[in-house]
Amino acid sequence: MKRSFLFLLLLLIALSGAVPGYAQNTEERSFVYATNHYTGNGYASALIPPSVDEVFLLSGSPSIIAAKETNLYYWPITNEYKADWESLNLNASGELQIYQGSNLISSVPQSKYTLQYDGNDPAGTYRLFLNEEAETAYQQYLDRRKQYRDDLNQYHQLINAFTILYQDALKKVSEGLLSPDQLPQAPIAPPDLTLFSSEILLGYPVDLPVGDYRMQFRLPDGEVQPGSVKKLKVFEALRVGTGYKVADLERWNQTEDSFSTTETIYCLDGHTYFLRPFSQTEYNQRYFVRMNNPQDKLSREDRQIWVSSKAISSADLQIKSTANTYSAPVEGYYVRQILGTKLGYEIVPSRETEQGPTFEAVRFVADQGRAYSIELTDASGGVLPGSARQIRCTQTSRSPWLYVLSSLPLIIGLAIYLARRAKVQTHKPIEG
Amino acid sequence: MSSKKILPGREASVIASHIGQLTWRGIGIFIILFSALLTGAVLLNNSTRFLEKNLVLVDKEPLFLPIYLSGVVLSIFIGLLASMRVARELDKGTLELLFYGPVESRQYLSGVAIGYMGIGLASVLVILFWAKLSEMLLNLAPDAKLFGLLLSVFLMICAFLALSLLIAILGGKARNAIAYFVLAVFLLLSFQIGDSLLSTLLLGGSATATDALSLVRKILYSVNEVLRWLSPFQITFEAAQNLNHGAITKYLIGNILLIAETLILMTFAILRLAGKGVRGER
Repeated sequence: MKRSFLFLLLLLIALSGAVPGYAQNTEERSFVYATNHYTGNGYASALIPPSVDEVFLLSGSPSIIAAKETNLYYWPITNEYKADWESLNLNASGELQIYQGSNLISSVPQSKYTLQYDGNDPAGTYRLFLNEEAETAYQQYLDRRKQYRDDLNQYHQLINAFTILYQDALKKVSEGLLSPDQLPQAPIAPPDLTLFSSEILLGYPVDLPVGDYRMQFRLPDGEVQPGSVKKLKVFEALRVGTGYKVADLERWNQTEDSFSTTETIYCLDGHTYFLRPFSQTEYNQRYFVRMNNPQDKLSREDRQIWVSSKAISSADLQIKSTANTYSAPVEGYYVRQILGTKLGYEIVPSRETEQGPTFEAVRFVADQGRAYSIELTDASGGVLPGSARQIRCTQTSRSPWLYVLSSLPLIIGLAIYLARRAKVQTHKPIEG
Repeated sequence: MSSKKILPGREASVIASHIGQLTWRGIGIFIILFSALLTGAVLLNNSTRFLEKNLVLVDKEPLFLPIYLSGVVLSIFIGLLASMRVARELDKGTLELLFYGPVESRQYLSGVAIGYMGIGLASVLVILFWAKLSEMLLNLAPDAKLFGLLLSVFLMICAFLALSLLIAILGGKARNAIAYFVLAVFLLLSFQIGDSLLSTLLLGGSATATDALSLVRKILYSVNEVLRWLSPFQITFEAAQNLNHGAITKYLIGNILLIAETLILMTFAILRLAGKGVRGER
């Protein structure tokens, strides 16, 4: 009896050690805010768990704050709270109240909304539709999607028919009954549907001027939802500008970023460079980062961040050197790998090839002097804001002379010291 | 109160002139200048090396950091010289003799401060000369903001000098003064450098991932939030950054802060010396 009990006990212990470990943490039903916020280039979403007490939004376009109930869990791998939307995703009913100081400035009712953009140019085409407009836009999207499916279906039928016809025609060509130019033409595929749309969603649109606010969620029974009071900071871009990604021909994919007009691009005499211009906007680092990632812990309020939006593909670079002034366009370049086992490449204008461009840039050769001023102009000749820079060809070979320069005070000091010592020694006191 | 009571007077200018003559006759100040410029040269050479390897360098002002660090080196050495001078005189009792005569504590400390500020100003002019020659040598972009930076560096030297004098008065004996001085330099610089390194070099990976330096980062950030209003090194660094970013108002506020700090620390030092006397609590 004792033996069998001992055996069972050992078996139990052994089995308990073989139980698989789960990294699934316990969930807690919580009230949370979720945003679909304007980022300056489009829209992004973020979760605001109860541990976050301040919400950041960018002014200029409406953002959506949704009040939800979900199951929250802590994810130790990234130290974040995450929402298990699949298990629970309830839209809370009520209104979002926004205060400035102690004044209630807005009670926002729940709205329907949808977000749409063109996949070819998301940054330039993002649109937020509210209420009836949202329903119309979403319906139009559904209609276009249906139309696209129909067109695609029809195209596949045409392709099938064309394949049969083409096989027959090829046979006739081989038999000499048809000339090759009488072969049937392939049907044209319908253009891709590049429009993307979210479903109709529910949320509270917020479009406030820059400032510090407080928000809370009031339930239909008049009570304030516990845990819904948050600080709300609406901020704006500090400035817009034009940045450059600069790379030497010899290291074409190792770029250095130039964000500000106060920066100088230092280069080497005779080298060829590619300058890839892009539009950019500067924000306060903490505000922008916390807007996109409310649980971020590293961003700082005393730092700024440049956010690039899109590459500039149609502009001219005005280059002024000590020798002359000239202009160079932004154009596409193709990086062609050299065949063989040895690594190598050449960069050619993409118009000279059948390939699309690898990148779009201005080609600049530093052989017209030692100092250049550059700025970008658009088609109308207007200068793009923040595009001016200085380029200097640095004389790196002279850098050892810096140490000689630094030694000058020591040399002068030694000379003075030795001269004084010599003077003191020549003026010996008269003895006796 | 008459103007005679407020102004340091002729006695102070005699002390200042004496300090100036003694310092420029020795080799010490030239070694200090050499060290400061060598620090700058190493940093500038580092930038040119990077350019040679990377083939392109984007920089707002490659001379800013070398000049700033040269200024820090100068501040420490000039502050140490001034601090040791006062502490030694207190130690030897020569100050007691001086104060029996026509010199008051206010005149004495003002004289010492003015003397070393003159040395600081001359040293800053040497840095300017070095910077301009380096600019021409390497073909760097000339920038008028360099003058603004040098003004801030000079004010940093003044503020740190005032702090050094206060340390000497508080320390009393030379060895105490040295210990306090080293501690002050260590604390001011380590918090600043530590915070700069952690907030820039170690920013990587997910912003929410486990951060091995989380507590250190928080402590450094919190301490620097205070030091940015107190430490001459930190105030000057931020003034230089503001100047670089074109935030002229913030730059001017930084300079005003440095002047105010110099005056406040000098006043404390004078009041403390007058209060405890040369025999005082040594």
